[in-house]
Amino acid sequence: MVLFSQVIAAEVDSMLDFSVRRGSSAAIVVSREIETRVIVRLLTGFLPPLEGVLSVNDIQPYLLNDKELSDFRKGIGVIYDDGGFISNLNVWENLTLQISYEGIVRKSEIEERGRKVLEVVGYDGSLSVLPNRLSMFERRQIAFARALLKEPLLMVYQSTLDGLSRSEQKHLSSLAQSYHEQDAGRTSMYITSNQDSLRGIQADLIYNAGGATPS
Amino acid sequence: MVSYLGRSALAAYITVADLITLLLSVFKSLVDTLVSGRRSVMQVCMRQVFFTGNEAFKVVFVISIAVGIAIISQMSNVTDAGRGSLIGKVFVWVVIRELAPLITALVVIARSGSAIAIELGQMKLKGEIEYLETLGIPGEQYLLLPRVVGVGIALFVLNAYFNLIAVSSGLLVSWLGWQIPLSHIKQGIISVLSLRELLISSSKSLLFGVVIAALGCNAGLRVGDSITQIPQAGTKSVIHSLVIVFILDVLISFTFIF
Repeated sequence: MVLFSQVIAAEVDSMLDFSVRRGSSAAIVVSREIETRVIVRLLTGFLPPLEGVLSVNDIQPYLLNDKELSDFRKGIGVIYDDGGFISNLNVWENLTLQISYEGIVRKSEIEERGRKVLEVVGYDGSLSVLPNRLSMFERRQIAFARALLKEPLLMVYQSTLDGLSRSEQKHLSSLAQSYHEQDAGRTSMYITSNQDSLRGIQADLIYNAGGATPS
Repeated sequence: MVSYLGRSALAAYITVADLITLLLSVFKSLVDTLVSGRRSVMQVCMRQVFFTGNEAFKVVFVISIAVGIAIISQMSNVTDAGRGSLIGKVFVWVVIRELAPLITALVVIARSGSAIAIELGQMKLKGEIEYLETLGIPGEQYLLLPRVVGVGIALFVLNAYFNLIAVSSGLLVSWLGWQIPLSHIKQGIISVLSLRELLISSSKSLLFGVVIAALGCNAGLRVGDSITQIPQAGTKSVIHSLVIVFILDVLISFTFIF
């Protein structure tokens, strides 16, 4: 379960007070784009709340040490609005960075798993280009594919559907929905400043500044 | 004047404290790498060795020939042709012990130290270090460790090349230009070239490499929210590296003399 209990954070205008139960899907709508990034930073332990309590599966990320934090982050898939890539690594290297780093999977298996997730997200572009050559939609496809390789139980979408065409939004939202439904324990959080972009999302909870509204 | 001195002393203290803290965290991540991330860290490390070592080789090659010839020319002016053994000794004392580690360090400071600072500065500014850590990959392990180890190894190897090329070119020119018998110079070199001399030269280059990379990383990681801080990080890395490398050189030389 993800719990934000009366959380006040730097650069977030209103107090965040909501909980997302395990296996559910929630949309968090904030007033400014910058706030979406701050919430991701809170969730991944880069930023402690100024006030209140924040926990993910009863773990308060800001209280963890470096080693614990690394392990904690491995369990969260984050799709950043810009993809969240290392700019001097090409698409394939970015995609497989995390599983290559783990070193527990053979090269042939990395290759196989990488190809498979690319197929799932429907990316058929070049793998040798640098991420800055990709369109916004392609970046998010690759970011989604990279998150799929981790098979996380908590998936965080930061403005993932913003600024895309209707068909691109539909494509990504159906991928997200399908991933969510594959396992009853998977939790999805869509964080956005543009509620219109969430049209194709079936959220159990929509949290607007000021309160939680069951959908 | 007093406040200027105080500020400078404080800045120097902070730089050295940052350097020590960074090196400690790199050492800690070296231990962690034995558990996980070995393959990826090794790849980045090899890339760093290539960029620092291989690409600086051409510059080091030209400088080492020039230094070898310059030293032999000066020595031939102050000694006569019969004092070839003194020339050999001077080669060991001046080139192998002092100039090779220092000059290769200067080349690496100019090329790689500033490049590391700018690269990490850009990554920091774009939030890429956070992106990396979101994947559960510690920045110290993936970004700092391979750079520090890679530059250390590259400088160690460049230093060995420098010694070899400078001494060979010096020998060749002294033989061709001043007809000093090679056997005399060789005798002079062999009489003073011990394992200890090679150890001084090698340990200097290795230490300089580690320090240059660490200072580059430190300058890059200090970049804040403004793009103008990136070139400043490059400059800072160069200046700090120059000062610390020269101080270390003196300290190591004194340590081995006494």
